[in-house]
Amino acid sequence: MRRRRHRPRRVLRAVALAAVAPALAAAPAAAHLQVRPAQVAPGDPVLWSVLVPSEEATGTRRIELAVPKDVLPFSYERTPGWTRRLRMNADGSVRAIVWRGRASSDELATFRFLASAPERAGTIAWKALQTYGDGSMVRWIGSPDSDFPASTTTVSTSVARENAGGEGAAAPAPGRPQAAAARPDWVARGLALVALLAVVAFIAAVRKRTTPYRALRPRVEP
Amino acid sequence: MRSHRMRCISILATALALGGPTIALAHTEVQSTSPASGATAKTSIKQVTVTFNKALRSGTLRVTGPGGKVVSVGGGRDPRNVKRLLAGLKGSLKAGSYKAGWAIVAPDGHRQKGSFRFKLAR
Repeated sequence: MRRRRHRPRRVLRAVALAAVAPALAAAPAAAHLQVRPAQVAPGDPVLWSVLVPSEEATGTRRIELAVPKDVLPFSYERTPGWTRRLRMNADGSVRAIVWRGRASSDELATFRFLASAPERAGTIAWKALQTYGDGSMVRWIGSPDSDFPASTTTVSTSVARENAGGEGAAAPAPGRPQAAAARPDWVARGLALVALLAVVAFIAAVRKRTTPYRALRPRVEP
Repeated sequence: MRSHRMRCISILATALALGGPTIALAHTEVQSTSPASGATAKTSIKQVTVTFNKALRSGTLRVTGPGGKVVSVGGGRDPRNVKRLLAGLKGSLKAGSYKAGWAIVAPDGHRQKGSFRFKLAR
């Protein structure tokens, strides 16, 4: 029953992936610091991922990510081996997130946090500073076609809402099946409750019926 | 019989407790207001603010005076404080009882409403 209901959705997902695939292939192949997702809905609470590959032999020691204007982080995942510190703006909003730790030359460091996207549609740039073990720094602040581009995210009303860590259900978005799985299945829960009540009623009925018969049974005197 | 019924109830309660949704809302709380709730301020005050314990994505603040007349102008998030709502007040306010009603949207999308009263005197 459930499997059949999900099949059209799965087909839709495959079609959506096929449509997105050329765009993914066009993404820069070099190991760049990246902030995902690339597209979000305005004002939506989103789970952001910062992917930090290390290119230098000395490995990454520090990442400073500037939080774009009108992006409001509210919850941070702990990355083992890394500490986090926030730098604030004068108005009390988060200006930058600084992670300090250790990732060797072939290690990927990932950082995740929840933050609401800006309410205004457009493109936001994630400027980041990556410091290596030898003290050298890569400034990921350039335009998309530069050597060290800042990762960008498009804010658009045509993107499905993610509602990460927010209230209510997330809209079914292509490529994000985990959001649908998190939703409680009220139909299944209701059926389970009905079944449970039926069992209880059955036991009660059987008990009531067997009691008189038991009373009629001849008692064996010791 | 009674113990049997109790057993049924306890089984049901356990099933509901295990199967029910776990609710853990990250609520935003009012930290302070100006004027304070229930306090008396002067009719010459120029603004009303509500400060919360967390950042706000957006919000509104509306102040009504005696007779339900709206006396606030442009109540919204304070551009200088991401955790505060700010509403300007019209001039020449009457002495009396005032009510400030606010509505906010937290960064996680949670919506909350509230209000408080204060008095103005010359």
